Amino acid sequence: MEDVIQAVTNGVATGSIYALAALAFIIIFKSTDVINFAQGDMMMISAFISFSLLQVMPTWAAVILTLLISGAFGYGLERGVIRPIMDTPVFTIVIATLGLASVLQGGAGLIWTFDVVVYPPLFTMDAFKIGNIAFTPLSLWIIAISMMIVAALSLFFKFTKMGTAMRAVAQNRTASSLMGIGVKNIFSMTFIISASIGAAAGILAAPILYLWPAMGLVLIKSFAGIILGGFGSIPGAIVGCMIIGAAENLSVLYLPAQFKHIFAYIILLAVLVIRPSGIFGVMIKKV
Amino acid sequence: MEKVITKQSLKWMLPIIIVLLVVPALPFVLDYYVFILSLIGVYTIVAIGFNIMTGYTGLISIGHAGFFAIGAYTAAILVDRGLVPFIVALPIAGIFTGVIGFLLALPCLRLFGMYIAMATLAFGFIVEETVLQLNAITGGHQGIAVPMPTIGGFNSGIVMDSDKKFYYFILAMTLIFIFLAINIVRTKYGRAFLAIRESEIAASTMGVDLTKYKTMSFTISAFYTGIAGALFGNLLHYIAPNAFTIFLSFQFLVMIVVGGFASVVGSIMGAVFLTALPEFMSSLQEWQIIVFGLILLFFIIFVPYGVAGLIKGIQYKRALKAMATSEQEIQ
Repeated sequence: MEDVIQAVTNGVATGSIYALAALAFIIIFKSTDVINFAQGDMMMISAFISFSLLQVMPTWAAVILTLLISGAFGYGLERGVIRPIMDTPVFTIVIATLGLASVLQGGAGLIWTFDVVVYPPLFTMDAFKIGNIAFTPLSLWIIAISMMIVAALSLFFKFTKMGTAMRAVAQNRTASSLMGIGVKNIFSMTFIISASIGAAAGILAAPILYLWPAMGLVLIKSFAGIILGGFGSIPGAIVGCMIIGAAENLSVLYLPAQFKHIFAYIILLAVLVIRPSGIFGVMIKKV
Repeated sequence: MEKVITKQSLKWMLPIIIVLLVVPALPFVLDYYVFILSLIGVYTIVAIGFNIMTGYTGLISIGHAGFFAIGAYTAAILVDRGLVPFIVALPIAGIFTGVIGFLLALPCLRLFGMYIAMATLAFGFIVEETVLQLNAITGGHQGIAVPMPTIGGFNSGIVMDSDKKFYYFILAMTLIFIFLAINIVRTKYGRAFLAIRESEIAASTMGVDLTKYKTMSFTISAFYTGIAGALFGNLLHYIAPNAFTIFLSFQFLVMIVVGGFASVVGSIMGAVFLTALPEFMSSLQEWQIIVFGLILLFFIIFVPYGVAGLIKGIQYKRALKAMATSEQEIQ
């Protein structure tokens, strides 16, 4: 039993990382309909930027600067790559973001390194025990910060003018444009917010996922969580990602260890077979 | 049904085929160039199969390296274990991959665009990881050596013990599969695929059986890729999991985007591109990922129908011009 509790605890911590990446992905999808396959790689770039900054300045400054640079980077990508193809079919956008993902991966490899880098964790990874269950401060911080970001975002979407405008754009682009909302600015803003969240995820996750150009592939685990929760639903994605994280860690207890790596993908396919609309029953029909 | 081979198309096809038949046989042509030509043949089969699913039917796959790996490993293991000779293993590999494609199509039938992309992405990872972990059968990350391909029994019949001999086999297979593909895409099947790509709702309203044709597209695509995988393994004499990563799936995608969606000629050009680029960049390995990405971005934004579409556009403009001048002459 303790094994199970321990596995679930570890799983929720891993799941929180998936959830943060998922969050960054969904915010863009919800308000712009863009399926951004490069989200994971934007996160990886942010982690590399923070890695370089950490060498030359104190932690707090490096983190804030990384969030700002990442936001600017997200804005640049939106203006440079996404906006010109905004009105093309989903098919084109998916392929373009895949191309972008590859450019970012190659770019990171050339600028920094293609190898795995040891990333100093911001919070210690030394475990402490409550009862027989081990916790690491890093995982607890990851869970806490994820929850804070989710809470802040829900407040932002609900109570600020910008947040309301974003929800309006998500519902109907044309109508909100007619109501005087600057749809293009909203798109840019969405990418900035999403890139910053991705940066937070990257900084927190780098010590666990290891920092290297292929780190962004973690996004596929987020996809599994997003689909499990119901595509397009933020609470669904977070619950789904937690379940994926827990399931991965639990699988080690019952199945040969090799399954851990592909368990998320198996769940992804299984959900698509059994219930494509996910737990929360959302199914995007238009794309 | 339209005639696939017309007098006009023969006029430019024949010389190419003759060159492909004669030149590699010349003694001074290096094995290396023959190997490159063989590789183009293998990739052509992949590109056509991939195009049937993604270009014609509009179902994005990011997991075709998975099919490629299944084909390569099935053929290699069957021959290596002495179960069946190469010439039997090849169709088995294709059919087995086709069956896997059929099974993967079943969950994808209820899904739309990006879900299929994600499902195939997951599939690609599952295959890659499974091959890696099934040590006992696949040799894990060390891979397995592939025995010499033969036509006939295990060591009897024609043993294709040189790149040149195997080249002619691959050339024959490539031509057969090009011919088959033209027959598929120019008949009602191809038209059904295109209709599904343009609008699933409209297609089903016009009486296109979505379930049947989407499954068919998936299965044919997997079959083609499986055959190509089997040929690939025998061409390289050795296969390992690190040859079948997500980057290969991505390269396949770049191949048909550059060559041109929904075009057999485009598929061939894409295959030439995919073979040539890494050869030119062999000293700049590290730049490969970024260059592939940039080329994909450039083509999808500025040349969305690929090289084949570009040529078609030029032909079309020329035809318009010719029509305009002939009209003037009449006046």
